[in-house]
Amino acid sequence: MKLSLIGCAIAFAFCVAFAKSVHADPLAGMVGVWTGSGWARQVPGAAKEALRCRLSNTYDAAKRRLDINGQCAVPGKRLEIGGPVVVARQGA
Amino acid sequence: MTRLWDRLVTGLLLRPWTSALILIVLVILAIAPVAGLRFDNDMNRVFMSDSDLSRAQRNFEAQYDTLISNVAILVEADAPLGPQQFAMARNVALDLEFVPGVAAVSSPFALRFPPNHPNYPDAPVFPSELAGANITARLAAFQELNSGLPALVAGQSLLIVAAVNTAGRPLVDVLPDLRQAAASLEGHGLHATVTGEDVVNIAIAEGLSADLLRLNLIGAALTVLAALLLLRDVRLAIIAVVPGLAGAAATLGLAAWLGYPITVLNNVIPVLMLVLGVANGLHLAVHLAAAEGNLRARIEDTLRIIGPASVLTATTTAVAFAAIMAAPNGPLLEFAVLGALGVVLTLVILLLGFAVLAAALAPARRSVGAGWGKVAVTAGTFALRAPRATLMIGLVVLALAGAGFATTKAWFPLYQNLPAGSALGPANDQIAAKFGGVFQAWVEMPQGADWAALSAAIRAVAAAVPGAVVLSELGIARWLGAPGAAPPAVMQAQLPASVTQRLRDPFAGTLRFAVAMPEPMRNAAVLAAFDLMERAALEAGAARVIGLAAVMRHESVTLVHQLSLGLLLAAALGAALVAAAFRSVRLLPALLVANMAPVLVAGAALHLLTDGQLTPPAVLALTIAFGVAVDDTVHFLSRFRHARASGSLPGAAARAALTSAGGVMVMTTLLLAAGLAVTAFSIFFPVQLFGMLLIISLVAALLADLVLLPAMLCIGVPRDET
Repeated sequence: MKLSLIGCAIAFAFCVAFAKSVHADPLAGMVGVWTGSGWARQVPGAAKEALRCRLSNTYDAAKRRLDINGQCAVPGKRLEIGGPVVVARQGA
Repeated sequence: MTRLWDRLVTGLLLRPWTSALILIVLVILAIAPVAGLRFDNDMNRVFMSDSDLSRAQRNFEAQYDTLISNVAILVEADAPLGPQQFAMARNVALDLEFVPGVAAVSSPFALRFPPNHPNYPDAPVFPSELAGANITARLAAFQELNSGLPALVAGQSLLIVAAVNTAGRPLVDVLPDLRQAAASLEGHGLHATVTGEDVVNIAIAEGLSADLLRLNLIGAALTVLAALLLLRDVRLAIIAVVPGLAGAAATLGLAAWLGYPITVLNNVIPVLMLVLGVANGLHLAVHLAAAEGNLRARIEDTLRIIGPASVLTATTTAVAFAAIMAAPNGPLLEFAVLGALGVVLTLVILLLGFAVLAAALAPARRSVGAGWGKVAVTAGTFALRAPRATLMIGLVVLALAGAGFATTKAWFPLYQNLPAGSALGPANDQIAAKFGGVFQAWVEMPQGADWAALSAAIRAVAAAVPGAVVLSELGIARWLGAPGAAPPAVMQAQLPASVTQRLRDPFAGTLRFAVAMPEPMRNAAVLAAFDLMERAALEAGAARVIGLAAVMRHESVTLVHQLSLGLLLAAALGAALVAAAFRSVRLLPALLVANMAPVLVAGAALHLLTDGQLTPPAVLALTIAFGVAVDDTVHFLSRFRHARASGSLPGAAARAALTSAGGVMVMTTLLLAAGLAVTAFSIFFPVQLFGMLLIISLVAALLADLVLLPAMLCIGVPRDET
């Protein structure tokens, strides 16, 4: 549960960050190794926690699918993180 | 014996080319594996024995499939820590989580309030947004929980502890990554030092290789220079020095052959072989220079007269090394074996090398060291005029030195084994002052002990040592606000296993708690605190106290006592050996007095050098000192016996011995002192101490041999039997 929440948060952060430089395929620009800091909550309503992540992303252009793999850490804990981000077809 | 020796000498001289070939092959074979030398990074080996405590420690470590080594990063600020500094330190703590091999990271940023906290339920003590947060108030609220859990922030310092699973990745590989992460704090008003129990060991190993090279190169240079100055003849100096140099190199190779790592203790052995080899070479060279006849007759005469004494002196030194085996301890056994075999190897190289080099390079006959001989004769003659008074003075010195040595105390300061200038010592002191210390003592409760017993033991320890930093399940229970019972497993699972798993035996359920502390022999106050803590825990029902801190506290004392027995054994065996070689039981008291006095004088000097601390390197030095000190006694007695056999009365024989051997005794002592002075260049204090004690012993031994020994021989102690 926690993992997926944090995964969503990370994915969302990436989407927001790159939405500013929107082009035909924004996910393609997210390929590679990424390091960043931010915050997360363990559960909705919980206190914010400092977060640092290291992710390695691969992109499948045919499926327009970005696979995210890596680790995030909050103080005292390390979490494996992974999952896909897929561009939804217009009208879907 | 004499016939066998004569045959050996004849064989050596009849086949010089065979001797040269044997010598070259021997040296090449010995030196060949020297590139494979390794350097010890497990200082703790020296503490472990077959005692109950060491066995308990091994069992404790074997219970866990992970082998955790705690690495502490001390972060110190130039000014009071503010949000920006906390944020930078937190980023480092988070980055450490990604370092391969790191199992868990403890830091102030991992501190949390319990779920039922009235103001900050289940919130981190350091919030995500540091700017504007009242960190001081939040830390105070955490302290009010009285959990006993360390806040890891004190004044302008904070502590981050990375638990490294060394079974997955060796610490020596992980450490550069940790240092790199810590280095990112530098230049922002923050300074970071990476330390810890095993980091200390790695720092020692890192310093050893450079130190070994430095010691051997400078030692060789000093010895060569001293030999040249004393002999004032390049060819004689080559004859005296080259076999010793080859012996030292071969001994280094021997360590590789035996698979022994270089340690802070044994890295001085090659230099010792060098100076001992050159000292014996000096005896041979000086006699060769003065011998009469053709070249072969001069070499033969030298080997027949000085050779047996060289064999005997090497034997006493080898026996001294072998006596160290009285301590059942891995690194010391290696020290003893390497030293004893090194002495034998150096002797073989010396005798072969002398025969070969003398045949090729011996200069024309001339007297060497006459000036030093006059010094020796003057000193000895003064004593011979008043032998009884001299003996009385000697006995008083012996008694005083003995009393001085007896009042030293067994000690093992691990911090002294760090290279000079290492930042780890001061960092460990800071951690000790602010966070308890980098070492841990584990208090183990008896099997079946309940929660109340654990709580009582922890309270007893806290009362005995106010401010003790204790990690326990009781602390977790207090944090949860329910100290009356063990914390639920689900709550413990919230904490890193590397932190909690040792608090309870995974099989028997035995409860334990850890007390953070400095190394127990950092100073007298720390030692007293450890003893108080241990006594309080045991009296409160604990079964035992283990952990590296406890092992260091107790095993080091046992080790020093065992080594002291080795010293006595070396003295007894060495004296008995020399007495047997001279076939005179009555020589024993004279041998013991003349050679124990210098050793005890050096031992008493520990009050000036180390505040009276008798450390393992000090006892080792004193043990070897006896073996070396007796060398001059052997040379003196050898000449004295020759003179007596020629019909001289004791007084005349003593003067003859002073005249023929006194000069070279002074010269070898000067040469040994010059060679051993290289230890002053070591970055390790134990090596410096080893050298200082040997030099003091040798100078005192020279005085004893020139003054006390002739006096004793002339007043019938012993009465000469020839």
